[in-house]
Amino acid sequence: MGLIKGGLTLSRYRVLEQPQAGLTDEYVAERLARNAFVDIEETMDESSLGWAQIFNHLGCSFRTENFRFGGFLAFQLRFDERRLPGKTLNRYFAIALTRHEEQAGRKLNGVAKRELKESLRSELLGRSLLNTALMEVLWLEESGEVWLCASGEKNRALFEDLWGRTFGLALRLLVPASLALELTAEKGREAFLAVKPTDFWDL
Amino acid sequence: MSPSPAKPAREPDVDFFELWQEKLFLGQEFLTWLWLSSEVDSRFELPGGLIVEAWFEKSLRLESGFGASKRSVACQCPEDVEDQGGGRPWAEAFAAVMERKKMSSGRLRIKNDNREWLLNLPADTLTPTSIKLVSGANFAEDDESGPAGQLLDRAAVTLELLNAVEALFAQFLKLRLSADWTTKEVPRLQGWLKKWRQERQN
Repeated sequence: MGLIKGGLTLSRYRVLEQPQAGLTDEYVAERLARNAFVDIEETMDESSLGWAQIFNHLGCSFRTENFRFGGFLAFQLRFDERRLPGKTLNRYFAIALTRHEEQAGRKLNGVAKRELKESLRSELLGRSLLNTALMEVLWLEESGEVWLCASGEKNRALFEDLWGRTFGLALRLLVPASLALELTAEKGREAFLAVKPTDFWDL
Repeated sequence: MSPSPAKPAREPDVDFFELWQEKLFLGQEFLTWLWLSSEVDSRFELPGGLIVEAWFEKSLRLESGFGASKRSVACQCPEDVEDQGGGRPWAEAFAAVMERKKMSSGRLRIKNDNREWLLNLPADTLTPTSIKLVSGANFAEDDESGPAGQLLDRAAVTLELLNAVEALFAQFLKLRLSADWTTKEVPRLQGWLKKWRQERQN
């Protein structure tokens, strides 16, 4: 689901700071490239988080024509992850432990068990398929707003982590409280900060 | 076009996360106000000459309490059911309001002169999810302008929707922070709820 096709789900942020040298295409391209997605298909890494091109999640090089669209900057967050359910690991561990103890003719101590489990975990992770999550991101230059085309705390945490590493510019999630702060002038803000819940349905 | 112009960073004197949690009720009250108001009249005249129609359909969720004491109820309003035995649709939801529950989310239909959208609106963020443009698309999925053209079109249409939602929230906020809230608006909605209850009892 996203900006290009299908239903759209959003999280909205206000960018509270400007880059010191201004929001130039060179600045954006350099920051995106420095934090571009790195493929872990052939490695033992458990996860990888980085930027990809908006229309091609396999493309991780950035030029003005693939991220600037008028007053919008668009790119994709890509998160690849290997998952190993705890139950699966425990099942394989029980089998491996029995085999090791039979071969050794004695019980393994705690340290050896932990080492065996960790080694097994790495081996099984290396054999598991990668899950890929893609989230489109749109930066609205004029209004200083950023849309993450996803919702939920986990998705927002991934985005906020990558945004922080890439641009280091403070963000504020747009929710009722932050919208109200923006919509109220000084006098209204005092009233907003003091407002308490109403039981207007208390009949 | 933008739902809000570029704004300077204005740090409140309180921690933002605390403020968000402390004012969560504001999103719930906004949705409840929007729902009850739209049951009276779904046409909203907003600042700047903006006129939108908005009403909830298919599903509403209401809740009360926090943490372990939280109680919620999901209310359905099938399209083909005009009357659920209480004289009006949403009988279950009206009963929940009278138990002091507030709306936590709902499926909203919203129209302006050009377009019509369906979306889920959660009270905690007031940011639409599962947005569907029902009518008014002046672009095709296989637009000749290619994916970049589609992106710009869809972004512009989404901005139009956010503009409308934010204008509705601004209207509510202005009322909510004024003396009119307790002297006029709350009595207006209470009067309507009382009338609904009387009709149901007859």
